[in-house]
Amino acid sequence: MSPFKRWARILVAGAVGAACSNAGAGRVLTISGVGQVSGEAYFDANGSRTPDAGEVGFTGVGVRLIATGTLDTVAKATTNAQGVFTMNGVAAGNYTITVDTTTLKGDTVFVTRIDTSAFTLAPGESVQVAIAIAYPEVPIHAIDTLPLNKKVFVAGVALTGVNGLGVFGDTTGNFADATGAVRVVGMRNAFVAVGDSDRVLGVVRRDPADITLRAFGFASLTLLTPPGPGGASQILDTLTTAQAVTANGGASDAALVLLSDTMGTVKDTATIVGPHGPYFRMHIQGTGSATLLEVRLDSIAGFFTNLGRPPAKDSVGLKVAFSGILVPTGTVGVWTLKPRSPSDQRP
Amino acid sequence: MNGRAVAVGIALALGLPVAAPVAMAQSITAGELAGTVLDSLGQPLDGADLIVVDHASGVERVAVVTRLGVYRFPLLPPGEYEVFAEALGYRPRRIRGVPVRPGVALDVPVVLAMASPPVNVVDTSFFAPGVYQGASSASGHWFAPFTLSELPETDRTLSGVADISTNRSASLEGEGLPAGFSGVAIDGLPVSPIQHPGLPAASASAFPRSAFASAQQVDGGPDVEWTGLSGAALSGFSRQGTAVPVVRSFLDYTGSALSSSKFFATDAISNSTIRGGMLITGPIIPDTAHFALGVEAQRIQSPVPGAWVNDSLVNIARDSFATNLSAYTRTRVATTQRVSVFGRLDWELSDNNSLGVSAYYANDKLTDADLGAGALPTLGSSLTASNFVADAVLASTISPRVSSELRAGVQVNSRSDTATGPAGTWVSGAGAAFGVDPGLIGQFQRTAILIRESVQWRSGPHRLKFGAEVNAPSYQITSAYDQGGAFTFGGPAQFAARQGEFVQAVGTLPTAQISAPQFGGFLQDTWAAAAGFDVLVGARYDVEKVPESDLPTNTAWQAATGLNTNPGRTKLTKFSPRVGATWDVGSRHQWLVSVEGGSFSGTLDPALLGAMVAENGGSVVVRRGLGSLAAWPTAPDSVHAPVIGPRLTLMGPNFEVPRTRRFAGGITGALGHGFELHLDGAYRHTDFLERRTDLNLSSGPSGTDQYGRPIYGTLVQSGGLLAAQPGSNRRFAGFDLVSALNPDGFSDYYGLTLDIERSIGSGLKLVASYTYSQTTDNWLSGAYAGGDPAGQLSPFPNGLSGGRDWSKGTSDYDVPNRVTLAADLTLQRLHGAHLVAVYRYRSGYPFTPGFRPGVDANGDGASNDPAFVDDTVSGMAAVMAKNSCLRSQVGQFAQRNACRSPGVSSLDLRLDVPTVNLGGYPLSLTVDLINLLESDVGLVDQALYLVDPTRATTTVGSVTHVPLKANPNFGNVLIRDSSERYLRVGLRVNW
Repeated sequence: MSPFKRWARILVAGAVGAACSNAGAGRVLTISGVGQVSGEAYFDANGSRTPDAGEVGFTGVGVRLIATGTLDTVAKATTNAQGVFTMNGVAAGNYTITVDTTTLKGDTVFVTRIDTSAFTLAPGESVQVAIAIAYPEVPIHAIDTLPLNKKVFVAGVALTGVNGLGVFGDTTGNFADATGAVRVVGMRNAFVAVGDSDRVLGVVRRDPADITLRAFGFASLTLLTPPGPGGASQILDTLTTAQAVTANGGASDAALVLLSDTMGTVKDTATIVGPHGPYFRMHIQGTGSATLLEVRLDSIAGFFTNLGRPPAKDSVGLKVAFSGILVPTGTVGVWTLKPRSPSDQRP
Repeated sequence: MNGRAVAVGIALALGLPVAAPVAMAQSITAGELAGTVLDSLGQPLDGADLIVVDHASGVERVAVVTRLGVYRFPLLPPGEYEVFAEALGYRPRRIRGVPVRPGVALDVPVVLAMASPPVNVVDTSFFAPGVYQGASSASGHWFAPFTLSELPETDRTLSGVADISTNRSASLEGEGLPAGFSGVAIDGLPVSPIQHPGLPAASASAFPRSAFASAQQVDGGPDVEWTGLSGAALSGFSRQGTAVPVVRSFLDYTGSALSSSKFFATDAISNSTIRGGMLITGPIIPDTAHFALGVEAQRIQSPVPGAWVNDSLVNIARDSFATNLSAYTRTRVATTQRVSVFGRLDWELSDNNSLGVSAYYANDKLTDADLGAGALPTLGSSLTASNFVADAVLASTISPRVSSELRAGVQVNSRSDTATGPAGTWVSGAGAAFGVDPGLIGQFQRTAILIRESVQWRSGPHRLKFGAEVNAPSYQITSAYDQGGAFTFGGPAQFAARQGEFVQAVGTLPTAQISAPQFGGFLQDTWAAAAGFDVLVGARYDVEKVPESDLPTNTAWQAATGLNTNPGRTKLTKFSPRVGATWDVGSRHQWLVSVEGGSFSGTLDPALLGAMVAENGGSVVVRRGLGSLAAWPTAPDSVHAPVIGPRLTLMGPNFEVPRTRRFAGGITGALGHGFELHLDGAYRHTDFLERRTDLNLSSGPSGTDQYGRPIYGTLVQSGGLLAAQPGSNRRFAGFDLVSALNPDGFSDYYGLTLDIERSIGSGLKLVASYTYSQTTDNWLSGAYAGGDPAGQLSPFPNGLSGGRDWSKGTSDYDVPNRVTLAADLTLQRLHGAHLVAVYRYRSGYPFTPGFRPGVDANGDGASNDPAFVDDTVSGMAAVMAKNSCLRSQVGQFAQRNACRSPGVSSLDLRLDVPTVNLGGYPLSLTVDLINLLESDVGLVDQALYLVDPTRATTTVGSVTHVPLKANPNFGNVLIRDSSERYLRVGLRVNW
């Protein structure tokens, strides 16, 4: 082919190509503005769901960025040794942050809060996300169904105080939420006032024969909300004496209960010296019931009854009324009622 | 006129594609006659007098013959001329039938025979134009006066003449592009009656046919003066005054008693149409100043078929909502009242300067107009429009080598659409629609000033043309889609319960005030490269101002996305090269080969700019309701239809206006006495077509349907309705649809036209023309969306598997076959009466098997989704048996425009019988038989499936299963839009 023909062909091909090509291809308006999404995954040791002093980053956590309303993962990241992750060049839009739970390695800890999981990212903007990883928080009644040794948080209102004075044992507290009550043992170095709303981390135990949450040694208590009017007295189960003996089949274990069939009759009394000091014990019988319920009055709580004086052996036959916490006796299925203070000894 | 010329004449008159030479004259509105006066020995005659006479007007023009015997008329109005030459000592010669065509320079040699005085004989001969009879180029179709006055017509508008070509419709839609890409030019200046963005393009009603002497359809003419359109221009040549006073008038009538239809009852409601007009032409100063003055008035009452039949809906509306819908089920009447006046003054200011001034005014009032297949059947609508156009052309011959044309025009157009009645309502399952079309209401005004100066300079074989122009339109637009609100219900039960979907644009609607002037310059050279071989090379450069300062910024959107609703661009630049060549083989006028090519750019669409101003500021917001609406026909309250946010329209900084590159070639052969053959081919590539994408659609799907179709948002079913929960499919809360107009659309057209004309004896003339074409594009034009911006969205915004663009395929405007057959029979026994018959056929428009309005299969906010052709769906066997187009689609999402509606045929007849002569004014009786071959046309039911209201949509994991059933009505007319056949009688005086 002569040079002339070759150039002619090139020119013709170029002209036809230019004429037939879609000159507008690629001229597409898109949202090109990008921002940055970063954050920290931290081990929420106290279950507060906010990063508190002393809490450390959680490494190796897989984080996904999902465009709102879609199934698409826009970006992925893994937290570094400090628990920090960064996603650069994220297109503006509405997103949800999710954690790849497989990266938490097991079912011990969970993502309990992402602050904020759903957000709008504007161009040039940087969004910070805090991911709380902690042991799960469960409703109190769920403890009964958890496997032993499961570590969980519960949150509830303190039915009894923990102050080392030994009313319910040196380190035992009772907490209740709308679903039930639980006894928490091993609360060392803690101070709990009746009526506090607290979150407690513990491990599920059967101690000795009933489900109990054993607190970690370092378990801290966090005031969730100020106690309402009436404090713990707002959480009250009403049971007959016969029901109280079995804690209503165990459902009211550690609960604050009011005996509904009193005035009961005092059948016997005794002063017992226990490991935490002396206490006064009596058995009462509800109206129309043959079942005897043991009522235990700690000395610290004060031995007062409706008689206007401390009970004594001559109290047998008296009519008395109580509210209090049901605690196990050590015998499976048998509970004792422990008034917390003279005010639980009625009327 | 001899038989051969007549045969050519009727072909050209019928506007059939004729391959002919490239325009080698220098004016787009005038032709050139030139030649040499010779004696019988071939020597130039010095001192001969030469006169040309316009056959139509009788106006004479005198030429100055040079010492070499050369004469030249550089700027003659097109028409049929007579050349008369005389010289002392020679017999005068009259040459008849000399065609002057715009852009054509015709050489007419004159030979005078010596004679001794006294000379009493005038030699008379007929010019043999051969292939030069009428056409100007392969790009243009010439419509002679015969077309404008003698053919049976349904529309007296100028643009309606294009309906008889085989590449355009009456609205100028054609060559695979919609009507809006083409326009009308009057005496070389473009005129643009303002359009409604969602309704079919309005015809150029300001310009009745009687105002024009002739017209030319220019499909991409290479002359550099053509600009502003990426489609065709219908160039009208206004009627000039006559040498003697002439009065013409016409009156015709038709009515319900003279019409019928096999598809609907035309006599169910009284209607009548009467049209009349008068045209007066004459001299003010003979052969110096002439005038033409005309008026036309029409009252057209057209029966429109009932849109649908569904007693259940009528009863529900009447019993539950005290609303009478029965009028939608019966034949109704659309009324058009139109008055137009026009005038022209031609003044030969001097031997070298002539001035033509013309003005047009029309006022239209349309009541209950048929808004076309893309709009809801609307009763209670009223359109008022007025159009005023005035233009002037000063043609000057500055020297034998230099001439000039200065054109100036002013145009004022206004249009107001109003309506009363229930809000626009679709009942999807019933296939019924009624109420005020959601896009109908609006006010539009346009004012424009145009000035163009063109200087033409001859130098040796070269003819240079250069010039500049200003086109300064300004607009006032008050319109927003969904202003009146729109309801969609799944079926009659949901309609009764008022459970469905509602959308409305609310807020204070601002009036968009936009100005977008364009400035341009051009340069062109035409030269005779060899004997019979002419070449044209030219280019123009235009700068269009983008009304950036008129466009608002939505600050909330900008903060959320970084995108400014104001494109931040101040101008668009357009470079438009043009080339062309003609080869008159052997210079014998027997075979003519022509080729041409060029680039043609459009202008900014005022409707888009208006939408940007009206809706981008944030004062107009969209509210939506889905489920219980607790209201109809009044709009639901804000609890049932809360505000979602503004609906925005964006143009990016890379925005362009549509640009067409067109190449054409043709061969014209004069094969013998009364036998002509034309073969044309054209290729057009248009790019920078705006494709709409939704920037605020969720960035990814929320799942798929049972066929793998990506779904956006949460689908909610209500009977036969399926829609996304409002807001669930949005990427940014607080905004509704946010459209980006991306210029990445294209359209490719190939067309081949064969045209044969034949005269048989002196009493029968036949024409047959056929165009085969193919148009593909990736442009979802929203042809049947009625202006709904969501109707232009791609149903697969992220493409099909592999990223394939579903949109690429058969164009919405692909009409592969068009045929015109015409015959003109002269009935000598009936006083020379003419019987004219015109048969036309075109293929039906393509459509995509999908769903009805109210079924948004992918949840993107638009009911434009293709169906997945699943032959296992109940009832599909019967549907597929009736629709062969579906068979190749089984097991896939239907390809775009995979099916096609039936072809449309028409047959019109006119019998024109001369009767008596009233004092020198001949009176003729015309009988028109219009639309004898009726076609059932209207909105085709594209729904392959209906959503089964007896079953519920379920979602398992990410897969949503939509209950479907086959639609037995698929492919049939859903909303009928047929016209009746009718007989029209008329009288014409001196026409």
